[in-house]
Amino acid sequence: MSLVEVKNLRKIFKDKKLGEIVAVNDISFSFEGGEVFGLLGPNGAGKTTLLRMLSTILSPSGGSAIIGGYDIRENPLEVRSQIGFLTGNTGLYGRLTAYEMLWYIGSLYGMKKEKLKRRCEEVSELLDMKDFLHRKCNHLSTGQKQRVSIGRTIIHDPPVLFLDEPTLGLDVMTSRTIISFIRKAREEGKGILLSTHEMNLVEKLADHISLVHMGKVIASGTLEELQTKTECEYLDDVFLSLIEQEKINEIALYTQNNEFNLS
Amino acid sequence: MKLPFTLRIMNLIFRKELKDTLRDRNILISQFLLPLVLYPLVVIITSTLLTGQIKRAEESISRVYVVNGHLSPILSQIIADTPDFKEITTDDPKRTLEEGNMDLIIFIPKDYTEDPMCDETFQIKFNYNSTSELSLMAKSRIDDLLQKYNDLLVQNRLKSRGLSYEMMRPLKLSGFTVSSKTREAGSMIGGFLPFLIILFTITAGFLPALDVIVGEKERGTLETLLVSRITKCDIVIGKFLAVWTTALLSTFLHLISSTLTFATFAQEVLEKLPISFTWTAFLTVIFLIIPLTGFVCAVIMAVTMIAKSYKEGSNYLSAMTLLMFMPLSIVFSPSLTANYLTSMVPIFNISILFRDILKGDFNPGYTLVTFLTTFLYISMILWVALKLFEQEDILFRETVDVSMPEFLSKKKISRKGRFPSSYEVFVLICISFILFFFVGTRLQFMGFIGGVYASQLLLIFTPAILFLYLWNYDIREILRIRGFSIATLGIIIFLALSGMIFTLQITAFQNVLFPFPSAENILGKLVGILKERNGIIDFLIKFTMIALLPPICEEILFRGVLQSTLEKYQKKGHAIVITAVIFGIFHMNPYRFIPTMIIGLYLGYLAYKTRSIFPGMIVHAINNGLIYLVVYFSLETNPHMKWIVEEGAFLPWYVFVPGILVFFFSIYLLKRFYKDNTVIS
Repeated sequence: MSLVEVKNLRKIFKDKKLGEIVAVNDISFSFEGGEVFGLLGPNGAGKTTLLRMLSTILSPSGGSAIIGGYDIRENPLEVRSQIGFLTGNTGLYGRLTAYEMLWYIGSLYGMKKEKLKRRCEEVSELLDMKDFLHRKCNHLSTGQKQRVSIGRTIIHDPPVLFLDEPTLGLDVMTSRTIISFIRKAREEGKGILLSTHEMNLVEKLADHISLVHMGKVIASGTLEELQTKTECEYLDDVFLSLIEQEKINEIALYTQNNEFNLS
Repeated sequence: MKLPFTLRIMNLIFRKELKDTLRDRNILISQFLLPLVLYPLVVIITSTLLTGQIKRAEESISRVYVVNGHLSPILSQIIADTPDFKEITTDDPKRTLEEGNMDLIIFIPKDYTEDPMCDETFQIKFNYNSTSELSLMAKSRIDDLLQKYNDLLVQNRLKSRGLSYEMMRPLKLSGFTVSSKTREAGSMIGGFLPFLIILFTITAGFLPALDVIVGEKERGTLETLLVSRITKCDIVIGKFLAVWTTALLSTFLHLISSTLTFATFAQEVLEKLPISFTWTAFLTVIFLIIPLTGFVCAVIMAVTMIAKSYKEGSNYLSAMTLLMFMPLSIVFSPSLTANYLTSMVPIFNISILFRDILKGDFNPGYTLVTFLTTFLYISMILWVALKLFEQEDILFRETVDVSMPEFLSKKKISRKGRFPSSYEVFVLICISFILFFFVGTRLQFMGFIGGVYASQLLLIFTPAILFLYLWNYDIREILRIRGFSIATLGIIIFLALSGMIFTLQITAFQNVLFPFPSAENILGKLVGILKERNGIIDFLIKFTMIALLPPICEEILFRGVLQSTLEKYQKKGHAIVITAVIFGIFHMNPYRFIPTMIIGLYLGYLAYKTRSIFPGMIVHAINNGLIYLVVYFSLETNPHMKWIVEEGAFLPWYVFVPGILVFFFSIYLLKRFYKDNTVIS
């Protein structure tokens, strides 16, 4: 069995005004430790919803997923100890220091004092956080905040990492730190699910790519496979050529709906 | 059995939240620094101002003008002899009084005489200016002066008739007065103290709860917490404990600060308070603040769960505070006494205990019941909070806000099918409620009949209609302005009559468990006004006031705007129940809450089934109209009729047995007739 195995995962939101919205529509994939799995798609494609389901914050409307041997529906707590989820927004407690933040999250995972202390040292070393370790998160720069966020994601040393837009809004330097961190984690044998709308990040890192659009996987494979399939050299073009048709459909549908509302 | 939470994790969350909260500058200032500074400041400022003013008034000489003073030379002599008074002359005494250049006018009647042979009694009036401290002082002095004058006149009259003054006075009384000013202040503070304590408690949990729940959603840290290896139950309980602790600390700080301040700066006032301050009382109050704070914090937690943003959260909390104040306003009516049942009503129970303990009555039984039931409520509300927290759409919901009124936007959109959001309607109801509470009561105080007209039309009807119109919502559809089958008119009339019987019978049961403060007629003080017979016009004005206006206006706001909107977003049953509960609360009388809510329930069902607003108006009008007619024709003495207006009494069996049967039968008929809500087109 793979480290992460997702089967026909579905999520339907019931919106009071818009009715049912299918945010994730029958998505299946799997990956192993030591692999970076790239989930690429525009904003609103359903990537975050998918990650939220996999990290058991949202319950799926259909399908299943097994992470590190645990089912997300049956053993949500065990699943959570298998994963580190770097959420889209930094999500730090501004009035805690970086160190307190790491300590708090680590202890929530049930880590013992001695072990946690050692792990905090390790993580701050790894992410180069020594300079600001005892400063309150509110006073940190965006890049520093992102490093603290990653730190708290890996504090319990999980075998699986879900990274949601890890380099969003960061400068080149910090981005590079994060990219090298992802590479290091892959070398350590962690399974990484990288969700982003930034093509070059996926191009640089991902062993396997799934293109997500409107809740569905529209193409899947390695970078070379996708290039041959669409006869495009760059991922941007691959992506555009694949979703172009769908986008036209979407716009058409949207206009149609609006006209319907107006009448 | 495995607990749904782990103590270790709860403790972790609790400690982290406490640390986090105590580092928040806003919370530190508002919850901890403010109470420490507030009391000394307020007391010092007010007492300096007050004593200064009283002193000034006491040292002043009261300036009086005597109208027709030429008729009362003796009085003028007395005034001249009294050092506190000075007679002055002026052309326009009234104006001089208003301008504060004079303190008192004494009116001597035109036919007045000081002639000792006269046998008449004369009325002497005086005018003072209640806004002037000096004039008030003159008023308090004038009694002594006039008493002296009166005594002198009596002596003269007796002497001229050859009688001795002592003969008329077998007793000589010597009384004493306490300075009335301090006493008044004392009784005011005594009544106000428990009120203040509860006020702090309610507001103390506000900011911390918003911070740990909504703040976490807004900053995006909630997801971080949710992916940790902890349960939602851990989170809710841990956070609740942190909020509770912060609120408790803040409340205690308020208490300590206010007590110390009073003890240091205003000991005189404290000694004269009509409260008995003992250490037992003090400790019991502290002991009761713990569950009270817990209850309020639990409610605040549950409410903030729904909110997505700080703004939304504080809107909800303000509305909630208003609701929590309702039981408080009743507690301070002295007729209310504690019993085991009142000890089970949240907030109310603790408020009554506070009042009684400060008066010196301490009942351990009620205290224990209060203590235990409050903890029961706390766990129940926390359970609700947890259920809310488990809902996905609340965790990751988009913020709803009151939208701009449509007329402000240039785009013209058809009204058809446009419904407001639940949130907008909620705000509308709150505005109506606040208007009704503050403006309505005042209007009715100024003039009863006009007040009722104005408050129904301006505070209930107009806001609702204006809201629908300006925000461009589908008025016809929302208000259900639609005909209904005349065939069902019979059912509707039966429902109106039997519904009244059903409600009154339930009220009677409630009266056994939770007795009304005094056996009251439904209309209370209104009866006097309604009984007057001043011709047909007057009858019509009052009939409209009782039987037409409230049905029309209240149906539009409640079954119209509120229930229609809720029906759109909620299960129909929920919409009806929520509307009925709000309808009950809106009437601002805890004893009538259950009866009003029941009426709201069947009115809501009727509106939902018939899809028209008119049947509900008819039922509501029959209900109110019947009561008026019974009072107008004085039928309440008739043993067969008096149940209509008597609240809390059991109905004669030959009324309630058929009544209840008819009630359920008409509900059944309604259900049959409007099976799929499609009978009417």
